[in-house]
Parts: sequence; C-alpha cells; structure tokens
Amino acid sequence: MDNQIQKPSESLNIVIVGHVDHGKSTLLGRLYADTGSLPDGKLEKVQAICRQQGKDFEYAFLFDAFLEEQEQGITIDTARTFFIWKGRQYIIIDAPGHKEFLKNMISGAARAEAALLLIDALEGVKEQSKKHGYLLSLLGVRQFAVVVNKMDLVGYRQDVFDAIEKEYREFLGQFKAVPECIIPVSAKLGDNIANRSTNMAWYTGPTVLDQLSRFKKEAAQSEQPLRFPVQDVYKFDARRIIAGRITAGKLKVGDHLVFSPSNKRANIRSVEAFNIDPPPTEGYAGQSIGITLDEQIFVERGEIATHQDQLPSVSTAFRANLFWLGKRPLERGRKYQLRVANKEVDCEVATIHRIIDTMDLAQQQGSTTVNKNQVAELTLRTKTPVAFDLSASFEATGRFVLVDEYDIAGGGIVTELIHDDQEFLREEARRRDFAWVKGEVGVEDRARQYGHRAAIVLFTGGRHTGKSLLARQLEGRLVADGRHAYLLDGENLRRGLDADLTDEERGQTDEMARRYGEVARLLIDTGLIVVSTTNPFGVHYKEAVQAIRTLVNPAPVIAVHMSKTSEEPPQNTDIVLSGPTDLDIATKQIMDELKKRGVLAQAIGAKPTFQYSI
Amino acid sequence: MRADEEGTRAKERYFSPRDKHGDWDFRDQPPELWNQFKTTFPPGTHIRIHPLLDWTEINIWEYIKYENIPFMDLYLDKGDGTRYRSLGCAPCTTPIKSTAKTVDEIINELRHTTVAERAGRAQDEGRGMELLRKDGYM
Repeated sequence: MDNQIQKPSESLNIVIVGHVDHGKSTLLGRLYADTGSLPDGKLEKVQAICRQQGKDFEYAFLFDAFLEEQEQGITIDTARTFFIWKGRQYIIIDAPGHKEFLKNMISGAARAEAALLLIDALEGVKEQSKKHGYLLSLLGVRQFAVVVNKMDLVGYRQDVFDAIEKEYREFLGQFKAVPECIIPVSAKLGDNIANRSTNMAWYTGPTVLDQLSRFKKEAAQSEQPLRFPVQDVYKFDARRIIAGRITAGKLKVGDHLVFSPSNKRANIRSVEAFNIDPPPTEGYAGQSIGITLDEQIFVERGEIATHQDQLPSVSTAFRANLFWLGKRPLERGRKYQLRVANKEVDCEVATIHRIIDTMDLAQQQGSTTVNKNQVAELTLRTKTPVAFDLSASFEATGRFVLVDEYDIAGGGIVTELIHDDQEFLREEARRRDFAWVKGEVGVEDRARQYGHRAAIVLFTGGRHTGKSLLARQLEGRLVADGRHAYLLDGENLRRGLDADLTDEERGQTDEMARRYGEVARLLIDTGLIVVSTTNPFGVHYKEAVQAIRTLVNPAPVIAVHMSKTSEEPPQNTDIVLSGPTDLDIATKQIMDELKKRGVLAQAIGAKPTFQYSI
Repeated sequence: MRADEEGTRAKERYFSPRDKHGDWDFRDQPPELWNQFKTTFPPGTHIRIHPLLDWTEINIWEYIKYENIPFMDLYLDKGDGTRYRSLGCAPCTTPIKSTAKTVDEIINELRHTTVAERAGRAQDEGRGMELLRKDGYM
C-alpha cells in the first residue's frame, strides 16, 4: 500500500449552469454513476424510493436533497457534491436553473473555477441559457464548456447540434466569451458523459469527463502587480501585524509599500508565520499572510497595499456592470453599503445608464430603478474615497457587492474609473505625502504624549449662525481639559499667506481652500486638534469643505453644520445644529463625537486607544 | 460542519441565519459572492458560521497529518478490521469495515472508497437529517 502523502490533494470547483429542465442534475447524477463515485447503495436506495412512489427514476434525485426538491423535481438551492477522478478532487456545484433561484445560481457560480453550461438540444437556446452565459462572464468564470444535452431526443443529429453551436457562439461572441469546447451528450443515456458515445461518430472532441480533467487549476496571479488588501491589524507584543490575503502579485521583506487611499508608506520588515523555521521572507498571490513594517504607521482594514509604481485607482466614483438580487429594486439616490475587497463604505447610485437585457444584450435607457435579476450599467458614488481597480486588470479588487440594510443585494465589476472634482487635489496630496520628510517623532508618539489623536473639527453653515462662537468655546474647553487644540481662523491666512492672491482669486474659493487645507494638514501633523470654521469661504463653503477633506485625508474630520434654515448640510456632516444654540450642550455633543471617533479617550487622563488610523 | 458530509449540509452557506424558531429557510438563503458573505444581521438573529464548509473529509485528515494534530483513536482500526468514519452517540453510530491503522492509511482509503462518510450514522436514514436539521441539529 502506498502510504506516501506527497502534497495536499488538488481540488477544483466546477459549477453546472443552464436553463431549468435542461438536465443539470441529471448530468451530475450520470457522471457519478458512470465513474463509480456514488456511495454504496445510494443508487439502489433512490431507485427503490422511486418505485415506492410510482415514478420513474431520475439521476437528478440523487442530489436534490430536500423533499420539496424531489417532489417538485427541481433544484431549489445550490448543492455541492464531491468526487475524485484521477487523483484530483472535484467540488461540483449544481446550480438551480429556475429563474426564481438566480440568486442561488450566482452564489454557486461565484465560487467556481470552471463551468459546464447545459443547453437542451430539443428546446435550443433559452432565456436562462443566455443569462447564465452572460453572468458567468460577469462573475469572472473564464473557463467553461457548453454541453448540448438530450441529443437522444433529436436523433443524435449533427445539424441540430451545429445550429445550436452557431447560435450560442454568436451570442457569447458579443461579450468576447469563448468556450473551451461544445459537447453533444445525452445525460440520461450516458452518451459522451464518462464514456464516448457510439451514437455520434461525427463528434470527435472530449467527453464531459475528459473536459473536467482538462480544466486548469486557476493559477494564482503572482505575475501581476501587487494587491494586498488589509484585512486586519493584529497587535502582538510590540509588533503590529498587518494581515490579509494577497490577491495579486508578490511581496518580500524590504519592499516599499504604499497603502491606498491613505497614502501611508513603509518598508516590509518581516513576513510573519507560526512555527516555521526559517521564517518566510516572501508572500505570493493566494496566500493569507501577516507582515510587519519598519515604521509605526496606522493603516486600517480595507486599505490596499501595493508597490509605489503600480498604484490602484482612488476615487469617489466609478462605472460598473451590476446584477441585482435584492427583493427591493435598486434605486438611484438610495444609500447602500459598498464592499470592495475588505473596504466597506457608504455609497449611492449616481446614474443608471442602462438596463441590459441578457436575452439579446439590448439596452434600455432612462430607468431610475434596477429590478431583481436585472443587469445594469451604472455609476456609483462613495461617501469617502475608495481604492479599487478595473476588473479587466485585477479580479479581486475590481469587483464589489452592494449591501442593502443587512443583505448582500447585488454584485458587480468595475468597468471604468470616474474622475471626480477632487482628483487634482487628491493627486497633490498623494505626491506631497509620498515626499513627506518625517522627523524622529512619530504620530503615535505625539498622540501618546498629548493623550489624544490629531483631528480637525470643521464648522460649516451660513452667516450669523454662531459658528465662530461655538468654535471658540470648543477650543477653550479642549485646552482647559489639557488637550492640544487650536482655532485656525481663515481670516488669519488672508492678510499673510494669501496676500499674494488677486481679488479675483480671492473671490473664487479654489486656491484659498487649497492653502487652508494644506495649513490644516501641517497643524494636524503636529498632533493638534484643529478647530476651524468655513467663514472666509462665504457661500462657497461646501466646495471648500470638500477640498479641505481631500487635503487632510486620512485624518479624522468631525463636521458640524449650523443653520437657521432647513438647507441641506454638506455631504458627510456628523452633527447638525439649528442656528444659535445652547453652546454648552453643543460643545458636549461635539466632545461626545470626538470620543466616539476615538480622537479623545472616554475619560480625561485615560490613554486613548489607537484602533483607528491617524 | 462540511458540505461533503451529507445532502442538506451540501446546501449550506458559510454564514447561515436561522429565524427565531430556529427554522432554516433553505428556499431563501443569502447570496455569497466571491469572498463577500452576509456578515450583518438584525439584532437577535441566530447565526451559524461554517468556516470549513468547502473542506473535504480528505482535507481534514491531510491537515491532521500536516499539523500533527492529536485525535480520538476510535477513528482507527485496532485489529478487528473496523473503525469509525464519523462519530455520534453510541447507540446510533456503527463502525465501518476498514483496516486503516494510521492517518496515512485513512487518507489512502478515502481516495478510493465508495462508502459514504456517514454510512454508520443511523440518523441519516430517509429524510432524517433534513428533519433533524430543521429542529436545530447542526
């Protein structure tokens, strides 16, 4: 007996998709039966149940585990089945073909490395044949074979097969999908499943079983540029270990990493591993690893680490192809949570460009909602900048899901970066951060010494709403408590730093806001809590707030809006106060927000916890 | 709990909610896309998490070997030509025929067997597991 175990068994995830009743479960059952992979007695047992119930045995019954599935003769939910053939383990996912269960089909297909797409020879190409073909492509399943089933019902005729092949290849060609092969079979009778059919001598390609062994194990994307989304930061003794799975490329000790969107940078000091001697010095795509850095920088879950010459896109907007699974239609303007790799951020649909009919890929414009099971092209806008890639270049960081309340309600791929109006300033901030010269005192040292983190409190709103009064009171209160706070009044820049601006330039907000933002950024780097008002920007305060946010990123911004009217506060406002208000109550509200955000510790004198990025 | 053990487990999700009666609505399970799972729930939701869902029986034994993990010796043949493949309560669990006396022999056996992992578990008869799992069994 061979007792040598060389390496873990290779396993391959395969999904079987196609229109309802085109024979997916039958194909699976036949594959098991013909390869002798069924557990002993299983076939006989199910056959006996069928005889008892007075119905014909079908191979599909072997895997439809629920009584309801067996009674209705349909697969309701994806089942995973397992078999071993020539030393390789196959996990075969039998996806439901009924359109009501598209959600389950997508769950099954999303974890597959290859697919078999079934088409009934008698019925031909149907609605779900097309939808599933299109979705495989959208889900990133590039390896697939088309299986034309029930050839026995069309007399094993080659012309029927050829016509289906032609029609379906044309459909797939519209989105550049190419099957590995197209196989004529009869799953019920076993033609070209595990054994070559004698009924179709005209077909010389692989059987289904041959094709399964030809599917390649998905190669890890090690040759691509590095993408290392941060999953978590663990604190072990003095070490801060940044953990996550490398989704593309490779890294090694000594590499210089940039974290996006915060633009933090450091070199890799070590690759961490338990009980491995000598410890590894490299990590590759597909591995879940931990690294430590040579500097104590604060990065948080959701950021993407890369090398500096291969940065991901950063923006608050992108265009995407999305499929919607939610019970409630996707609506323009409604808030959803976006998840890209490990990043979670609020977002909304800015534009629905078109709904794509997956039957003929026709496009319908002018819709303001996307219904369940529809595919659409749309533009998403996020609350804060997010790092991502185009899905054509990077799979894992180029796709996303949308969460509606508690549920994953849609998924999609990023097709285009959309430049937002902050791009120029974001690029300035990135270049400035990359070239930033640091002293020996780190941001954590200052925070520990001062007993709080650096941040900016931004007061916004129209004239005579009490912003300045409240800002002064807050500054006073913070300093009285022993905090390091400073009121940065725009007026104090006007006569000095801004003295070179022409009247016209002062009339426009851009340059003044940029300078204000850069000064605030400097003060934040000194460890201060900067208290500021948008007074100098007058009615243009919304644009100014955006610019300041971009330039101080990733420092915490606590935005307080004061207004006597019911005007809409700027995006991302944390606290809304109505006009001149009780200053003590308002101050306490802001102090509470500072605590909630981890800028201040809960009690004076207590050391703040640094679980957030500074 | 793993998907390869049994038919209804094959239909599980990594994050699987139950309602307040413990019922499993297998008709309407949350989608799981790529590595994104349903990880947010209304307060009070009962949730089962199956991190090893896509491991197979062989994977478990390969991992036991790789990490040299101690395990219960009922899984080995101790001379009478039988061993337990799957362990449950004594009255409803029977051993299977096997001469595997080491982890390597178990792995080798699993690569060629056509005996179901839970063949020795009486509760799997008929719709047993579907009904048990509806009542809260894992």
